[in-house]
Amino acid sequence: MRRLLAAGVVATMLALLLILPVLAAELTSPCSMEVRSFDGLNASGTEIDAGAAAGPIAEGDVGSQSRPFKVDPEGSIDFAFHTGTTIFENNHWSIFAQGLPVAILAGSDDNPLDVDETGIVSLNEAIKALPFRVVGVFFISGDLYGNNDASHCHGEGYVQVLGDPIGTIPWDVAAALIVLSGLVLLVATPYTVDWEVDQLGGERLHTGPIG
Amino acid sequence: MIQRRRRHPFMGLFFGLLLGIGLGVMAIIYGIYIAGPLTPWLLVILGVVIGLVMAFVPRPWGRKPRPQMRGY
Repeated sequence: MRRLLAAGVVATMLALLLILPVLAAELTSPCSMEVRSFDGLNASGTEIDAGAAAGPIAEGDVGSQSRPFKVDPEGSIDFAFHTGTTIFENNHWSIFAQGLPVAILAGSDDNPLDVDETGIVSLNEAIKALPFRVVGVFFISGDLYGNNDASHCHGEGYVQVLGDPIGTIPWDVAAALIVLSGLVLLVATPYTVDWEVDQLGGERLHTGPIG
Repeated sequence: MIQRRRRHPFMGLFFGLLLGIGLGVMAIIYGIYIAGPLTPWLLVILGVVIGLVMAFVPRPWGRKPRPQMRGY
């Protein structure tokens, strides 16, 4: 029965992993955005990637799961964010990574003058603030609220930080965890059946041995 | 001789969690999101489940046969 239960749990997990629908990336109305990434600072050097988002991002488009927006960790991103015809007064915004409820970036603007926000973000500074080099594909989401939260835009998509992951601290730690914990699980953890001497063995009649 | 069953639920839970974290980080590094953005977290849960299953399901290898008893 236990084996059946355990097998059921594992099968359920695998089914969840394989069957769960792929959540689409999107940027909800009235917001839209254009981005372009470069391998140099201040939008200089070679263009790495470019894309635009307004509404759902179809699979295969820049920012989707199968085609993440590529950025160079030593480079920069030129972005233009638009809020359609709505001015987001008294706004506040937050950006999240991997669905964690703690924002990696947040800010606010009490009195924006227009419906556009542009800028150039140097990834070099942000990446250097981290204690180790990071490479991988990250699910980034964000929210913008304005007009006393009456106006709201939500965006989410995939961003790929380019580079060779082998040799980075996250890769080394993950590989070590998989190998070591896998070995421990195989060798030391399993439920084992053993035989040992019964400490209470050898008891006799209370009235003494026969004969 | 008595049969002694040894289970290691906390060990299984702990090392299963470590296995899941390793798998989750690798999924992020290589961009494997087969179940959408929740994939890394699901892999952590999968690791915990594997650890608990290992702790409660008898392994088919290394099982010692009942020793021969004198006089039986």
